[in-house]
Amino acid sequence: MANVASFPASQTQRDDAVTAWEEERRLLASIRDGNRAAAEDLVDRTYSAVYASMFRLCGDAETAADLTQETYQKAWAALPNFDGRSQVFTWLYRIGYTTFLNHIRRPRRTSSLDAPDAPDVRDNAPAVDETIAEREEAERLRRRVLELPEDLRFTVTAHFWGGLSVKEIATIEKITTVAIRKRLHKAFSILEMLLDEEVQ
Amino acid sequence: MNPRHKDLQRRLSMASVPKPPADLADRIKRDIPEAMPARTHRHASAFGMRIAASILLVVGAAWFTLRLFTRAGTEHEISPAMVTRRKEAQVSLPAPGPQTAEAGPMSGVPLPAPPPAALEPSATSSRAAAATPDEQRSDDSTRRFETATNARGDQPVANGSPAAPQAIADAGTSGGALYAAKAVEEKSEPAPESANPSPVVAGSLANETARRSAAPMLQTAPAHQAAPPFGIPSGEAAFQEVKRAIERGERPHEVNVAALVNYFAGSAATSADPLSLEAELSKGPVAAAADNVALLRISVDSRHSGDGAAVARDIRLEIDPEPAAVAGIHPVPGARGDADGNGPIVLAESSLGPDVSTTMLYRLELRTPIRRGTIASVRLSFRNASGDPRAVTLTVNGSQIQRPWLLASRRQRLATLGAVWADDLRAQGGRGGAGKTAASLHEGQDVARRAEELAAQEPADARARELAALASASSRLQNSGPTGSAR
Repeated sequence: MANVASFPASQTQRDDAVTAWEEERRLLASIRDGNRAAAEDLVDRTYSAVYASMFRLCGDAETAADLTQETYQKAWAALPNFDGRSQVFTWLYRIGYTTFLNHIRRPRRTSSLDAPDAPDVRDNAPAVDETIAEREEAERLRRRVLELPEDLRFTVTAHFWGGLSVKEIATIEKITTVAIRKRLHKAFSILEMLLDEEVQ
Repeated sequence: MNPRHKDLQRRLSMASVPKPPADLADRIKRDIPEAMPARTHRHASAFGMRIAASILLVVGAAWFTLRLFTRAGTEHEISPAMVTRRKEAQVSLPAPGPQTAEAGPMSGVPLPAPPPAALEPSATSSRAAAATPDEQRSDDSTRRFETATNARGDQPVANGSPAAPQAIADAGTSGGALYAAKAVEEKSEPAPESANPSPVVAGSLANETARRSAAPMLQTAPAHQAAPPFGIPSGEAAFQEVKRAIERGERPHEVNVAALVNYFAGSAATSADPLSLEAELSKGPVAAAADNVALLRISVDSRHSGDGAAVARDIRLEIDPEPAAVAGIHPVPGARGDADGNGPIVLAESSLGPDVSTTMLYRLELRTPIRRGTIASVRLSFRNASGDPRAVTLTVNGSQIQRPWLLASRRQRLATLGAVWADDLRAQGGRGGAGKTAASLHEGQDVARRAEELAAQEPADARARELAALASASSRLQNSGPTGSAR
């Protein structure tokens, strides 16, 4: 049986959670009041995690950096309407995820007859070390995840690449945690199928 | 838990991430605005609006209930004078005309469906029959011109081709390269001469004359808008007809797939150039039997102009598939194409007005193995308002087909999903709903599901919402009634 937190939570656990939450709210209030230092503090606390999520989504370091920067630009604009009901990182992840989707759907202008952005060429030669093989495998998995239907894709990426808990995702999607777990199960089944097709 | 699922979880969690660039934090901090945007009170006002709406609803329901009961009570107390007046009113009402005359050729077919018909040949073998009876052709040794001669621009094209529900859909191939290019001046070939009117020009003028004489109200429309651009109606009328039929619980009898593709694709923001061209290739939205089928979307958008004058003249659109890459190119039902299915396809318009958007969709049968290089070239040439020749050429490449449909542009996804849905609807309606099979039911459900996903992704997109609503409704219609023979 999985570890189950004691109920009611111990005073220390509750205090820690409450403290973190209150601290976030104070930070947000400061930022809204125009406190630049508070905004910079928020960036320092969160940008690595946002970058990691963007990298896992797009698979490219430079693009991830650009998307991270764009995410925060949008976040500042959207901050007045953030009601604080979810954690700040959850909110940032949602903005980042939408930013990523807009990025991949952005039309790419070209006037050349050459292929503007050919997909990664698969290396058919045997892998010379495990690192290359692992990277390729990770890239394959990333692409397959992005092929999932939107509801499953968001659930998988938010949980595994955004670090959002099942409960947080359920709150965002306005469904139950049971439904989220079902989505994950379905997503794994589809990924299994897609990866098997690839092998064949 | 399934061991493979556990392995997937492990791999997903262990995806390694490099450290962020050293200057990233500084870059982000530099973007912090000097003054944070003020709270817009959107949430507060939205909450207030919801409360107000709820109160109005309750009050309205109470008032209606009160009226209902009051009217029921006074029915027995009605005065003879009131009865006389009511009878007079009933007599004076005009008798409703026959519904079929009002509804026109797209009146719905009432349920239940007639007995299942025999299976119909695929679109491939009946390519010649797909042409609209009204179309004229002028033979040319290297090009083919096609002209629509419908007097009414929004007349839905009759369903002349046999049904092939999986003619459009595709499973294996995918793509999504979107090219939006500005016009660039070309020195080589000027736009076609307008001094010697081609059959296209003559057809347009004849249409305009017929239209003006038939509908005086339309004289205010610009001359260049007499016929639908490239023979494809804007789709509004076709959409409304289909919607009304579905809302009545009926299967639409005739469905103009090309017009509906045009409707759902909508318009795009244009640049200062008179015309913008987009060309995009992708796989279909739902699974299909063939892996080598892709959908090519061509969109031409004219810029905004306040005076309503033509923004371009002598327009010529050439769609040239690479013979080594493409085995066949077929327009969706209702669109212009090439009888042989080999291309190239040439479409011409004498002029285009402002704020006009036309999207055409073609099904490409690709030769295997699918090439990574050029699959097709699309060239748009025209003269601008000053008479200067302009041209733009785009290419679509096979390397883009690897991209999943989900990653195509919004316009591509709407156009292709609209095409698959409309084609399936056409197939169902053409056979009177007969020949419904488990496979077609499944496809209908897949289309509805995809449409709902699309609407969920783009909640502000009215077209996506409309498509989702109608696809779900038509899928439910399909599920009702008997199933025909298996394919």
